[in-house]
Amino acid sequence: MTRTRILVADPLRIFRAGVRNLLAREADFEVVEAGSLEEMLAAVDGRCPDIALVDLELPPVGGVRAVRRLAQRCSLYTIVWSFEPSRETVLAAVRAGAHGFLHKEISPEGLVRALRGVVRGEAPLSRDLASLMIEALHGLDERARARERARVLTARERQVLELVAQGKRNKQIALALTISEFTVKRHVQNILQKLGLPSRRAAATFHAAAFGAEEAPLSATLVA
Amino acid sequence: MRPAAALRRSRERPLVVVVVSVPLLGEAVEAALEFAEVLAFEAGRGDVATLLRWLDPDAVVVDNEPTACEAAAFAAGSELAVLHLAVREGRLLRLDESGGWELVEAEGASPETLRGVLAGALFARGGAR
Repeated sequence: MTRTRILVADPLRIFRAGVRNLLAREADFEVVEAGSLEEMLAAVDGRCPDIALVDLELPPVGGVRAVRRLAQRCSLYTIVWSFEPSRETVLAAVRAGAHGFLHKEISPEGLVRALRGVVRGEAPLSRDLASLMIEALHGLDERARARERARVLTARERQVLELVAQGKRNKQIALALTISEFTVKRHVQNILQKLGLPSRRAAATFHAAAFGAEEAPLSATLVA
Repeated sequence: MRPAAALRRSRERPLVVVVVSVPLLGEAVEAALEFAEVLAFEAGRGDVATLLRWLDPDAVVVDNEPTACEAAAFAAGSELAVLHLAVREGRLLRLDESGGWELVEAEGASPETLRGVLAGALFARGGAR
């Protein structure tokens, strides 16, 4: 009988031991372990596994980047798992190439079912993580729509919008772009009018939706 | 669950109860303790004291703070060995004689350490009763 080769990449030895003990009872699985990215790449050198279970916190670069590196070396199914997945991490893992995402609190029976499902071509995703994934995809749609709206702005107006989103006042924007404060005010008015927005705060929110929250932290000093 | 009377008879092997929120840890404990009988239960049901009273184990292993507190409260004044495997951080703690928590392993808790600590606790106290 051909056994499915499972790579368990997790920094916690005790956790790997649990997975190994579980899968050792199943005649159709064989297990290879790794505690870090380096160990993982060494483990796949020469013989790729069929499935990789990769911890989101795999040292030293994290599970998402590990998934990408693994995909460069092997053609396999990759499942990322963690104790506290979020919408962003689930989406990041899937975009990096993961075929599924599981909670580490999964039952032993659930894990075996998920792995056998992968062999049959299913994508393992816990129900609540499926909801997170859908939310994340909705977010992507919103982002795409916001970026489409932003196309009406000129290049200079987009620069001003980015600085507004960073909480900069008109004087600071003028200095940054080497233009007059009067010109900045005019650009801000044009931005608000073109995008149909009521205030600078709304403009900052729009920028975050279009280009990412990490690029546009709201400042308490924002003024309308 | 088997009737309590059937479990309270003289045992050939120590009984270790595992009450965990991460079921795969039950597998890990079972793998580490080939010398013990391991029974695993799901945490978060608020029945730890009842479980321990009726099962009368030689040791209990938990993996989260609330269950650790319940087990420690139950174990007060007894010889019950209590281990807290804080799996998210990889730490292993042992309930000491004064009721406090002793850090056994700060990170990367291993099956070997778990096995050694439990074996020491169980057999230092006379093993199976």
